[in-house]
Amino acid sequence: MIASFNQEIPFEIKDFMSKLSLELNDIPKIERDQHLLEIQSHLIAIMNEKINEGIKKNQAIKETINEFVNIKDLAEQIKNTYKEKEKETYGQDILFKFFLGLPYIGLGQLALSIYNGEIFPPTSISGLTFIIIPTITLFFWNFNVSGKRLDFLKTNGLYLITIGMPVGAFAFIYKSIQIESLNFTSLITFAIYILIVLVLYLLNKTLFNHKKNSYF
Amino acid sequence: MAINYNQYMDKNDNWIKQLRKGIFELAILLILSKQDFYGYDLTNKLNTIPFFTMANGSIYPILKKLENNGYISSYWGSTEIIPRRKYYKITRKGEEVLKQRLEIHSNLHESLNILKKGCEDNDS
Repeated sequence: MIASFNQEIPFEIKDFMSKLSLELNDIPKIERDQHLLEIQSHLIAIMNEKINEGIKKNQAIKETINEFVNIKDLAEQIKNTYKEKEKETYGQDILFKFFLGLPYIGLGQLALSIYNGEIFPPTSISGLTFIIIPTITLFFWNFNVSGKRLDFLKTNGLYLITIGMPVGAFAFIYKSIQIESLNFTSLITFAIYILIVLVLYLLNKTLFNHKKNSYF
Repeated sequence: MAINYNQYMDKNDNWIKQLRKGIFELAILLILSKQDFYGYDLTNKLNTIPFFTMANGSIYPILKKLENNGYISSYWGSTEIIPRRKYYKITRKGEEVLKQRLEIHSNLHESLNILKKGCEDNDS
């Protein structure tokens, strides 16, 4: 839901915003919230102006809503603008997702080392390369920020914790159960793996916050 | 006396729709070239001129389009002002586009006037 103001938002305006939010459901949440916050601010400004002119609050709210553009038309136009932009940046979005996805191949290769209980240098080097190169690229690539890309970054943080980390843990636990004891190499690799996931998570979070601040 | 353009404009006429759309963009760029504005204030400013009257809220898709094209950028105003305002400012690219389009508009207007004058001369 969108950020609330100190001023109490009348029910009719909240209702208008909820309906608009539903209509805008298929655009990224960050982008949607931006539109909603701005439009809500506009509605309140009209309402306040009417109240200052001496119109009673209830009447002012009613007139504000009536004078505002139709919800469906507004949502349609916003979505069209968004779709136009999406078409233009489609190729770059794919590349962006590709770079976000590459470290998972690296994590997979490191998880294999945990499972095998031994470090096989080519696999480990390849794994680390898949992790380090795309991460550095994303950090130094001055990509254009969009709501969609911010959403990708946010989801990526979630995936690192909910998928990346359990995969390593699963490989370690499975290995321990299989050999019915603790494999020292597997334990060390697992510890390094967790450390890498945490660093990736923190870097992703830093990038997200940095880009979000530059966007808003 | 101000002319009410909306009165005799056929809203279904696609040519008028497209013309208005283009001119709206130009008008917004022109206003923003003088000063940064937020959506509500910008709408009020446009609504003072009959040709540019628009329903509240209609400005946002146009602003978004201009922003997507890189002609304007936006920033959120101070948190001390409630409700918080999102301001728009023209970019260097926007200034260049504005200059170019105003020139084209002026040339078109001049050309049409020459044609119109020619027709009038023939009539007399």
